[in-house]
Amino acid sequence: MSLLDVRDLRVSFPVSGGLFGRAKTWIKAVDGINLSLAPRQTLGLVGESGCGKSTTGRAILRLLEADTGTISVDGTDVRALTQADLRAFRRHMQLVMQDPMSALDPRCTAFQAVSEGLEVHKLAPRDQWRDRVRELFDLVGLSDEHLDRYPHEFSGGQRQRIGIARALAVEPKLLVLDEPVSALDVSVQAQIVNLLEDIQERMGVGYLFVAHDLGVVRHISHRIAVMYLGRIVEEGSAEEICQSPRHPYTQMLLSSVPGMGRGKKIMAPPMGELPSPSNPPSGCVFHPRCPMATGACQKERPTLVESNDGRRLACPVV
Amino acid sequence: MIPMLLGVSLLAFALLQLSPGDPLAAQRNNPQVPDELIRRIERQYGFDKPFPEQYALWLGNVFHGNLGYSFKYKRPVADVLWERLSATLLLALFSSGLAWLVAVPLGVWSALRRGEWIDKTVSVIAFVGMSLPSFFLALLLLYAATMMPELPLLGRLPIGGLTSADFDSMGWLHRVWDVFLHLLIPGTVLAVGALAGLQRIARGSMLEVLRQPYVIAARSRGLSEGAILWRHAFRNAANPLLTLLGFEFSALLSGAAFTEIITSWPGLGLVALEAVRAKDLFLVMATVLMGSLLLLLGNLLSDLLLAWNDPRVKLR
Ligand SMILES: Nc1ncnc2c1ncn2[C@@H]1O[C@H](COP(=O)(O)OP(=O)(O)O)[C@@H](O)[C@H]1O
Ligand SMILES: [Mg+2]
Repeated sequence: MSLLDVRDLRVSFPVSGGLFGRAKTWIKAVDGINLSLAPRQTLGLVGESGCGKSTTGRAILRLLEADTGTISVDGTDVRALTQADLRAFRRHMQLVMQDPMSALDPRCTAFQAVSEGLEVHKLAPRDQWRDRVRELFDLVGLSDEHLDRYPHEFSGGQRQRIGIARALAVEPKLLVLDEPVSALDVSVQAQIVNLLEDIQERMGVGYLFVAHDLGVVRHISHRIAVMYLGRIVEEGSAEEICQSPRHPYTQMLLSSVPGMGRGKKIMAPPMGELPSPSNPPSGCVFHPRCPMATGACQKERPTLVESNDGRRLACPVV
Repeated sequence: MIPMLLGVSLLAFALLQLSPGDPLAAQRNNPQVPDELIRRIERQYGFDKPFPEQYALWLGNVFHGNLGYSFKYKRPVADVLWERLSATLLLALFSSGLAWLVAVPLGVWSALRRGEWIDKTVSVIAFVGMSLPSFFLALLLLYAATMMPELPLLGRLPIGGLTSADFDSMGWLHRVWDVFLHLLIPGTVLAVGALAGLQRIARGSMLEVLRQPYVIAARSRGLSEGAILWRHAFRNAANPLLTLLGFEFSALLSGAAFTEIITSWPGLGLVALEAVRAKDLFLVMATVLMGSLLLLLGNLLSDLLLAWNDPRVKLR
C-alpha cells in the first residue's frame, strides 16, 4: 500500500476582478493531478514557481480544501476526516516550510516550537519534553545550548533544522517539504538535503519533496513528478527523469540546471513566462513555449499516459 | 525632551504675555486688598519686570520644584494640578480600558470572520462611531441621562463632576461606585472616539499575522484554532497595538480636554480652560508643562511595552 495516494486532485482559488471586485474568476492552481508515494521513499515534485506545487502540498495536508479528488495518507482518506479527527491525524503528516524565518513564531524559543507537537498530541509527559527535544536536536544537528534561543538568534540553516525537528517531533509517516532549501545558501542546501536523507534512513519517513529545481531533488528522490501549470506532465524514477527526460518541459528544466543535461538532447532554457493559470492556453498548456508543438497541441489536451516501463508522460509528440 | 519642554513653555509664556488681561485683576478690583499687598505680589512674582526676566524667574522656580501660586484658586498651583491631574488620568485610564476591552476582541473577531456579515456590521458601526463628533455624543448622552427614567442598577447617571455632594459621608466601596458612575458618560464619549481606530488596527494586524507561515505551521501540527489564536497569532498581532497604547493614551489626555469641558469633568482640560480665562499665569503654565510631559510619558510607555513584548529586546 502506498503511503500517499492522490487521485484527480483539483484546487482552485477565486480571484476577484473587474470594477468593485465583483467579477469572479477562478484560478485552477491544481488541475487534476495524480501522485503516489511508497512508504520510506521520496517523491520529488518539480516545476517553476507558480505552477501549483505548494497548493498541492497544502491540499494534501488539508491546510486548504480541495475542490475534488481523493487524498489517501497511510490508508486514511484525508478529505473525509472531521475537523477533530483531522487534528489528531495531523501527527502522521507534517510540513516543512520554505522560508525558515517566517515559519517560526518569533516569540517562541526553539524548545517551545519543537515541544508543542508533543504537547498537542500528548506524546510525552511534560517532564520528558526536554529530553525528547534534546534527542531531536541531536538528530537534526543542533546542540543543547540552542534550546532556549529565539528564532532571530539562528542562521537560516539552523532555523530550517528547527523546522525539521519540529515536524519530526510527532513522528510523522509523511513529511511534505515545501522547497525546504530554496531560501538557503547553496553551501547550506547540500547539508540540509543530506540531513533529510539521513533522517529518512533512520526514521523511515516518506517525503513529498517540492522544489523548483531538478538539481535539488535529483539525488534525494526515488521518483520525480514534473508539474506545469497545475498538471503533471511527466513522472518517473529519478534516474529516468534526469537521464532521459522525454517531455519537452522536463528537458527544459533539466537544461537550466548547471552540470545537468549536458551531452544529451539539449534544449534552450525555458523561454517566455509561465502563463497565468487563470487563463491557461488551450490544448496542451505548454504549447506556447514548446519548440516541438504541432497544430494538434493547440487543440487537444494530452492525458498522462503510463508506458510499459512505469513512466508516465503527457505528450503525444515525443 | 528637555529642549522640547523649554520651547513649549517659552511659547506659552510669550502667548500669555501678549494676550490681554491681568492675573491679579480680581485682587485689584477687590477693595479689601490693599494696594501695598498687590505691589508686593507683583514684585515677588516679577510682574513688574520685563518678559525675559519674568520667564527666567518662573523657570528657576520650576527647577526648584515651585510651580507658583494660583490666584484664581488661592492655593499653590501644585495642589490644584495634582488634584486635576489625577482626575484626568483616571478618566484616560477608564476610557482607554473601556475602548481596549471592546475594540480588541471586536477586531480579532472581525479578522477571524473576515468578509462575513459580522465583520461588515462591525466595520459599519465602527465607522459611525468614528465619525460621530465627540461633543455631539457627549451632549446626546447628557441629554439622555437627564431625560431617561432611572436605570436598573445604575440609577440616575450623574451629569457632571467627579463625585456626588454627599461623597464625604460614603463608605469606601460606595465612593468607588460613585466615581464609577460619574466616569460613565465622559469615559464612554472618549472610548467611542478611540474605539473605531483601535478596532481597525486590531483587525488589520490580526489578519496580517493569520496569514503568516508560522500560523499555518501551527495549524499543520494539529493545534486547535483557539490555541493558534492565543499562543501564536494574538501575541504577535499585539505589537502594533502596544505602539498605539501609549500614543492613544496621550491622545486621550489631550482629547479629554474637550470632553472634560463639555461634561464638566474636573480634570486638567477644564482647569486649563478656567486658568486661561482667568489669566492665572502659573496655573496655565503648569497645565501646559503637564500636558507635554504626559505626551512624552505616553511615548515612553509605548516603547517600554514594545520592548517587553519583543523577545529580541529581552531585559535580562
Ligand atoms: N490563496 C491563494 N489565493 C489565490 N491564488 C492563489 C493562492 N495560493 C496560490 N494561488 C495561485 O495559485 C497558483 C499556484 O501557486 P503555488 O501553489 O503557490 O505555486 P508554487 O508553489 O508552485 O510556486 C499561482 O498562480 C498562485 O498565484
Ligand atoms: Mg511554493
